[in-house]
Amino acid sequence: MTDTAILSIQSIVDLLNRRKPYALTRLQSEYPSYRSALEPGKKLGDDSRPSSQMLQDLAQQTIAVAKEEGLATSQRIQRRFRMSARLRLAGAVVSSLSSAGIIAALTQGSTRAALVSGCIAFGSSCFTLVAQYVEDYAGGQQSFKDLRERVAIHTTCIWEVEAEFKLMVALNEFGGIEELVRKLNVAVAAIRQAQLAVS
Amino acid sequence: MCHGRFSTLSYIIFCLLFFISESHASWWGAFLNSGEEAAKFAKKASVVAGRAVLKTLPKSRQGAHALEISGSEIRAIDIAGREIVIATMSTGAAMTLTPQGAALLKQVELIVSEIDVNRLEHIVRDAIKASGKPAFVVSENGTVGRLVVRATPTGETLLMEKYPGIFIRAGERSAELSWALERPFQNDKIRVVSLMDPSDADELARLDKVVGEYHIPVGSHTPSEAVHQIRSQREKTVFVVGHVEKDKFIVRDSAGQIKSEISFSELEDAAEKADASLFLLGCSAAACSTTSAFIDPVNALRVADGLKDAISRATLGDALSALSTAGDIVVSSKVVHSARVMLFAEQKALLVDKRIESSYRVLKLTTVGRERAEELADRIVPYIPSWVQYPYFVGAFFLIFSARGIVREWKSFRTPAPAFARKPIISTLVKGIRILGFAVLMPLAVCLNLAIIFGAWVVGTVPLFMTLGWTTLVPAYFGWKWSRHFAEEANGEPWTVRYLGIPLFVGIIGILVAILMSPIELFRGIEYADLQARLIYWVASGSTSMLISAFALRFLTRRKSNWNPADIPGLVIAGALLLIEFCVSRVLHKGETADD
Repeated sequence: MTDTAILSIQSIVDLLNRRKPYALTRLQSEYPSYRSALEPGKKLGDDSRPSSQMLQDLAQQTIAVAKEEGLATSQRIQRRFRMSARLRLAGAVVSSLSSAGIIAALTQGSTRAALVSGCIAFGSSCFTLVAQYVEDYAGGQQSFKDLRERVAIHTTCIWEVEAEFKLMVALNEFGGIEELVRKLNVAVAAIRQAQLAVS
Repeated sequence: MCHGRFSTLSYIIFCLLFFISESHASWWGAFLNSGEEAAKFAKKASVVAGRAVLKTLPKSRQGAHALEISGSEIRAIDIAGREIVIATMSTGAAMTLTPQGAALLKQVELIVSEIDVNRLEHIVRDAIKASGKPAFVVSENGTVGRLVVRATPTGETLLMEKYPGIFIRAGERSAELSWALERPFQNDKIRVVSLMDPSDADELARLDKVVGEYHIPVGSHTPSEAVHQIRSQREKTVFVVGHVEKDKFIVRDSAGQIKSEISFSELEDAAEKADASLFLLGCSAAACSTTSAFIDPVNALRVADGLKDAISRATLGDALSALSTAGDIVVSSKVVHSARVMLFAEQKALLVDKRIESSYRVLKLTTVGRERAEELADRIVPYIPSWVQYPYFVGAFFLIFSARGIVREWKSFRTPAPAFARKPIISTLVKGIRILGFAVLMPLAVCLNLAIIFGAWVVGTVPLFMTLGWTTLVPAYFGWKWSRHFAEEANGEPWTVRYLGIPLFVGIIGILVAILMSPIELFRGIEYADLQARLIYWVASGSTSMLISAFALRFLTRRKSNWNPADIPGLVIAGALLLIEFCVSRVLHKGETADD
């Protein structure tokens, strides 16, 4: 297997297309020779290697949007977590109440009331199971906990990229721009993956 | 009479003897072949006819020249009809360019007849490369396509546009390819195998949305698992979507590192073993593969959109034309073999259907009695009134004969369920609604269907024949004419459905005539009237029936009308299926995300 890594900027371009299409259009007009690389959607073949100047502009346009995207995704996962926890709590509460209802109905000798309480207890335990499933697997066999951790890691990574980029600008030394864009692309791709998993 | 028979017999024997003799057979063969050749030449003359083709081009293209083979010379004809000999052919079909021809080919656009493309391949290919100008091909049916030169595994090849966006390699048997492209395209037989990393989330999500459960993501699998997946797609149309580098699909993660790679040849071998039609949907895959593939660079999102259009098309050719909105496709002759295998499998399935049907016909004679059915129904579904249960079980019984056909038809138009791995809840809901909907609605629909057919025959004929008498034959005749008008569409249906027009005409027009006649004093108590009154009644009712029937028939069989009586029973089944699909679409709609 040939292990030659290429520089992919696809996720960054897709993010710009979703959130700042005017910025992408401007980049396309500024760099007409890289128009194909700046088109949203994966190219199913070889592409031209982007220039350092184009990568600088791309990084500058994207970092802030990527940070916002990471935070928004993180919040969305948190919301899902809370909803799932509430669902589980509600299920458990109803289940305990109806179990108490069964006991009370049986002591009073009312079979029908016991049956109704039993049905409610069964339903609420199903709710708890659904909440468990949603928390552990929903969104393509990825648990919420994993997603939350992954998004947190990659959001931090974007902060690091921002700091590195600011340092490059301050020193006017862009030797490591390719590596920086690569890191940014990985982070943006991971956040988008998480975003689609919880949508 | 006897003499006539003998003379006919002797004539037939003479003809047979004439063909039996080997020399005569070869003579007839040569005669028939020459007829075919003559027809070809005639067609070619009508298609190329120099100026005629050129005149159809827009003004900007009128500097183009049409190439024509005339004896041992190849001539270029311009719009004014001037002819220039550009090459001569020797006996070994080797061509020598004239100095005028060599100069001309570097300057002008070319138009060639489809029949001549193979013979003029080298000249056209060199001309396109030298001039950098486009060339066109005029097909046998008069449509104009492009001729392009692209790199293929066998070197630079001339590709001919057969349908919009669909190219074939010059030299391949285009008649067989045309047959394969016109084969029906069943959307439940397609599989889209994506070789992409999970970090290509947008592309994978789009493919999931477009083809649902028919999308098989194998980007995170090992190459051998991916090949095994292709191998398991027996007699399917498999589209492989992925990033192409040289002659391989390469899966790269978002950092650009290679995760896995699969060569085209591995995929081609697996598809061949599975008798599957393979389409390689990656950038310029046609350059390194002899399989059907894209010619130029493509974008994954556009490919997904193309697939969305493609799966709703009726034929393979139409589907590929829809897919070619993402980029031009070259179709390989390998699809012919797969199409043949699929046709064989379909015919075999039909044979099995017929066998099942005949075996159930035997079972039908020994079916359980009504009391037993009632008892069973009470045991299985308590609390449901018997007037629902009877039709349900009757319908369920008759459904045995038609279930396969209904399901096959249903599969051809239903929206694919989303992949379980992506949307487990929605996938389960969709499948659950379909299974439950079919189990609940279809037996009732089949029963209603039977009630319409047999009800129409019994109610629409017997009582009216008894009350109206012989005049009922008039609408019956027009009803027969109505059914005959749609005989071709109803071919294969049982006669009770094929001739459903008869009872419908008799029933509706008979009742209408009886209502029209009833206010007339003379015809009251006609059963007990004398012969003269009855004769007047027959003439009056017969004429009225004829008048109304003729108008009704004219209306029902007018041009572009689609009032086929044999379609009426099918509407009930289609209605039930559409109701199920409506419920499914509600669930699918809810499953769509804001990003979509």
